[in-house]
Amino acid sequence: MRTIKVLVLALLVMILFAASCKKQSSSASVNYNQSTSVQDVLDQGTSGEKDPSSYITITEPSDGLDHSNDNTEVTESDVDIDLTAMSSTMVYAEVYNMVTNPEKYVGKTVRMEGLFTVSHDDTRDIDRYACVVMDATACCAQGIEFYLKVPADEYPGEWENVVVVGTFDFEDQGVWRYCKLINADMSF
Amino acid sequence: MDKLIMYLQYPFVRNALIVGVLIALCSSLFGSTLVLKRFSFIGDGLSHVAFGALAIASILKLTNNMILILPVTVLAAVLLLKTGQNTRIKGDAAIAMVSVGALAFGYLLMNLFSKSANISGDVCTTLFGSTSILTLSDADVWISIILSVVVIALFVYFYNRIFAVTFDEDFSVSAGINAERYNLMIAVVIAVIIVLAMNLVGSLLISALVIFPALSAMRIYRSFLKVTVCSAILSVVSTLAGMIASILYSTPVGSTVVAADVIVFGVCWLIGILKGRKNA
Repeated sequence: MRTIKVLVLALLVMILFAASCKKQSSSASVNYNQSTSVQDVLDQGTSGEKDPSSYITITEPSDGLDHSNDNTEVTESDVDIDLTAMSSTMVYAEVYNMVTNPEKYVGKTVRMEGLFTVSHDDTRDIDRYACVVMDATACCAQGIEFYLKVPADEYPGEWENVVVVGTFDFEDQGVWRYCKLINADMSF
Repeated sequence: MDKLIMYLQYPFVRNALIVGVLIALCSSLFGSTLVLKRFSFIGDGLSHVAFGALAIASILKLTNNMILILPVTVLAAVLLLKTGQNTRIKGDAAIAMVSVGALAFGYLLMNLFSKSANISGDVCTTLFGSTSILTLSDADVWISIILSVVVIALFVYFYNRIFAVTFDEDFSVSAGINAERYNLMIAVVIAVIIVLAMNLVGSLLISALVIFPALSAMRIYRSFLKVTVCSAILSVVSTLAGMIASILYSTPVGSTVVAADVIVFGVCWLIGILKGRKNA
């Protein structure tokens, strides 16, 4: 009988703990990278080896879309979500959550490393670029499109590794929802 | 350690750990009952039925797949566990028949009618649970929490009757316990656990989550209560260790959790041998 009471008590504690965690997770803005400095995050991602000046700096939008509302200017010190510092399991899960719940991530500066891919959009006659990440077994892939601030002079080959830093946004076109990184910088 | 603390800032990681622990607890509590009633493979059979239901739900583009998966799996559990005694097709053959049939039809339907861009990836994720637990929606999390709490409460409240029905059904009936009703309840609860556990370890590995903690505990203890409590603790510890290891070291979640279960079983087996030598 005493054991049953202990079990029931433990159950109640678990329920309270679960409820409090859910309450915290659903409250206002999500801030990542609180415990480490921005410079630490950047150093982790580049292993201190890449020169930040390897980022391509550009001056004109490349996607033909209206960017008059794009006020966010991406700088190296503004990274909110650094996917390059995570394991592949976490990266896939985070990108999946970004794509399925994009409202929670709008305006966040994201840094991600993945495979470069390009496809031609016939309706707009533009090339669309994406960074694709895979889960641990590489059987599932998730990608995010990115729009560079200005066209790059040189692009990597298909499925080559790239690092992209940009501001997360999404756009609904009919029944389709497109998630993207805008004002992006790319390095490879 | 710093990396783990960083990962714990993410809501989906915290949700995954909470749901994972609750699923591990539920599956271990009823795992002892299943092992003792010689129904260890029912988890496999029901998980394949759930996969078939998931395939149909995906094709029908249901907002929440649980609407179809849960009732279908419960129905299959009731049919399999209730019809195993006096039918032409006995328990193990019935489980095998339903299991492979549902798996085959599920995969066939997904290939014929699904419009997903990566069917193999979807199937792989469902079968092996590589990242399913980390990609739960808020609705999935709440449903999992509520169902887990209900399962645990049922076990605690009906513990004595479950014990009686597990060990000696004939004696239970003679003592006035409605064994058929409690067998039905166990069948329904098992189905619920299977559906929840698919998110953690995938369809193919669910049996491990149900069986290994109970078998590990049985290496050390003999009484039903001690085995149940020990299997619950071992299951939660293995699941937490497996999930944290997979997040830190980029391994698939489902198979890492099962690997942790196997390692714990090995340790418990050694402890059992040493304990047996000490008592001899």
